[in-house]
Amino acid sequence: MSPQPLILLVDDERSIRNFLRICLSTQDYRTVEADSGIQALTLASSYVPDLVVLDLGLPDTDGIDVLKRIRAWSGVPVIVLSARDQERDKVEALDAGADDYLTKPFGVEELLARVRVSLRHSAGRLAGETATVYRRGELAIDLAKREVRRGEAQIHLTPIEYKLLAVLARHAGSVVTHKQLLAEVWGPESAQQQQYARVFMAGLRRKIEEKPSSPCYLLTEVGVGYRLVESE
Amino acid sequence: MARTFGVDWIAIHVQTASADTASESNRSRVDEHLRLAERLGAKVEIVTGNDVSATVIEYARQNQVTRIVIGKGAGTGLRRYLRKGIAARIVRRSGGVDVIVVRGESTPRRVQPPLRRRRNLLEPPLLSVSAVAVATAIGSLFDRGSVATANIVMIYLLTAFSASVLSGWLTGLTTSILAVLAFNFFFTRPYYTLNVSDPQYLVTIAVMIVVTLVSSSLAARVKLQAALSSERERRARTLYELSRKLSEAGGEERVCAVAQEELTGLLGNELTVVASNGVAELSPGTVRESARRCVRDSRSIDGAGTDGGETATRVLPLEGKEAVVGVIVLPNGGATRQIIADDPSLFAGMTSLIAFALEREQASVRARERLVEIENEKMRNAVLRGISHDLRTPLAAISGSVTTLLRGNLDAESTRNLTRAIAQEADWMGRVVENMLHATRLEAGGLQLEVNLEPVDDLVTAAVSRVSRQAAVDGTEPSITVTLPEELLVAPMDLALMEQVLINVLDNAVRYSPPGSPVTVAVYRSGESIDIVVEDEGPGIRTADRDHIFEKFFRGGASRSIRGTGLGLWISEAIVTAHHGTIDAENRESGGSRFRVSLPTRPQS
Repeated sequence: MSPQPLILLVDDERSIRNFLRICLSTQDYRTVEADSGIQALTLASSYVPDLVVLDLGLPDTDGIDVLKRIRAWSGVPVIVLSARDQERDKVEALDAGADDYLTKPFGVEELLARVRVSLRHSAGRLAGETATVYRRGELAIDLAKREVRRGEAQIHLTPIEYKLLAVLARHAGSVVTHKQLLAEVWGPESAQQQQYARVFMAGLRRKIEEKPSSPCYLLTEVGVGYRLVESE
Repeated sequence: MARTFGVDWIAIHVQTASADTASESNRSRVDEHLRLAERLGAKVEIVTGNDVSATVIEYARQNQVTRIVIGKGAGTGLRRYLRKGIAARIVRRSGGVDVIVVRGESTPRRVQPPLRRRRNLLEPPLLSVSAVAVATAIGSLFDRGSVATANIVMIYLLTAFSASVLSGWLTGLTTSILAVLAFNFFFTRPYYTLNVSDPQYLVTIAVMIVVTLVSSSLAARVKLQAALSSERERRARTLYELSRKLSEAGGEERVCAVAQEELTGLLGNELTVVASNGVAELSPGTVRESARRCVRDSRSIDGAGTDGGETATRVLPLEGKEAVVGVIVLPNGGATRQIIADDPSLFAGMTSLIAFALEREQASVRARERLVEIENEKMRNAVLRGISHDLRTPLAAISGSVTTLLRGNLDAESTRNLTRAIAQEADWMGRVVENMLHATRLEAGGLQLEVNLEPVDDLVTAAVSRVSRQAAVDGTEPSITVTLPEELLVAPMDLALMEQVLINVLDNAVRYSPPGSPVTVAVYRSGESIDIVVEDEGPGIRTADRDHIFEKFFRGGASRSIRGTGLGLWISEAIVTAHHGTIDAENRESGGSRFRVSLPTRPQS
């Protein structure tokens, strides 16, 4: 059996690191801790962790800077932690290659879910296998057959709606920013489409959700993007 | 002397009506003296008045001068007598003011007579000769003896009178002497000699001279009065215009601009008027330095190192009641000085009007700032009170629960209870901080919208799920029903901020209603806008509170027992207004309240 995943925790607040360590250790994750950007970079190259939890508000260096320098040589999943007044930083970090984010204050369940999803995605990437089937509750998406069903009924989607859903399904459980979505569906030169993307997404939600007014699959991450909840 | 006594001193120059005729060199000598005085640290004043001693005493009284120093003058004859006279009269009238008379040294440079100007017919000597010639010619038209010599005398008298009125007493006098001679020569026996046979004629001659002198002095006075009153009128008009324009100008900058324009009109020169706090913005150099010193020391400063040069500048203070409120930077050339010296009271009047206007502007700015400060102070206090209360309460609960847990010896039930309490309190603190963050952004005027065309579905669902999650932490299960229209509605908005609006409104609806009572959210299109209506079945809004619920820190009378910061609806209204939308509240007929948020569907400029 492979050893438990090693997680690098980067935060200058000891109380936050403490809470993260205890919380992650309940799931048998191993942790190393850094309280500055410099230390984080050193530990990242010496320990080669399976996941990095990175606070954006570090005292010595910009968290985004740390992220970019890690990304320069490693594809390790990174979850960024941001405060409420760092909304823009958060989106920037996601577009710069972070896998997901948590806004302080956050709950344990959220943290563990993000960690779980990120580790699963990276394991899948490493093994070269991609999940072709998404299933959650009544909703089933078969990427190979290009089929979407809710219960027994097949849902008919327009080509763009399907593309959008497919992107979200491939990243199931993780947030997908508006920019990423646009780039993957319309191509990189698609800033013009941004207004439509939101409308398409609203339309898509009305088709796949049983009660669009209280969605349980397709969630809006205000100011960031969308998230299709984790596959079962 | 002033330095010995360590007091301020003033050099005063009294300009009299006769100074108009004073020679150029005399004037420049006065100018030089005054400048020397200024360099020695005196405040230089030029005042007008016909009676030198009276003017000096008057000035001294008005300005609380404690001591007058006057030079006795070392001239001879008449000059000496006059100077001494002034000194003596000042001493006599001085009252409570000490007068020190010092002996002046003899004037090193004699007063040069004025350069002769090109003559014309109205020049005194020519005028006299020609006038008498004309009079003689007229007189000779009559046959000697057929006309009474008295009438001939009248013609000469008229001539002398006219000459004196037209050209002053000197011309009058020469004319009358010439007239007497001519009369004597041509019209008195023996003819063509200057002998006087009849002593009667001596009386005639004396009368002519007296009449001439009296009439010329009367005429001169009338002319002076006329000139003075037209001068006064011009001055009054100029000052009135200036004060009208200054009072219309709002703001220091406008006042300076108006002042500059008007002074340039008077002096016809490139000059600058700068408010005291605008001095720092002058381009660096000697001018700025001088202006700075001028504001600090409150005295006029001549451009450094440019003694009397035409291009040098001079900085004059605009003195307010308490401090220098601005400066005038003007060329130090003779022309400008001359204009100021010609009518010092007009210039002084203008500068004091400008100073007054500037002072008034500065005072009103200060008053406004003070008001804002007071308002901010009140705000800060209220915020601090609010923050400390809103944060201290949950903090107390958390630390109480935690210390109890740390002591141990608790059954599972109590442990669960305490831990849940901690989670709830922490969540509440998070909400308080969130609202405060929005409030501080609003206060800082930093509400920058990141507007996108967003589906209203997203807005409503995001807000409802947040409120439900929070309620779950609180251990309540609100029943929120959402009704979305068939049509997919979109509106330009900052989704994060509008979500906060809806969260605040929904949160109020949930917390102020009895647990489990239904809350509904419905979205309608209403013409060019989208209405989001939140209804609850709670107690509704009390009539007394209705006009205040959107005010900052307002807590309704019914809300004492319910937690809140009094910020939520205030923030909400500010955000909705920034979106060009509206938010209002009313009571439903069937009980409970209804909040309506209305957003325009088209982008507003």
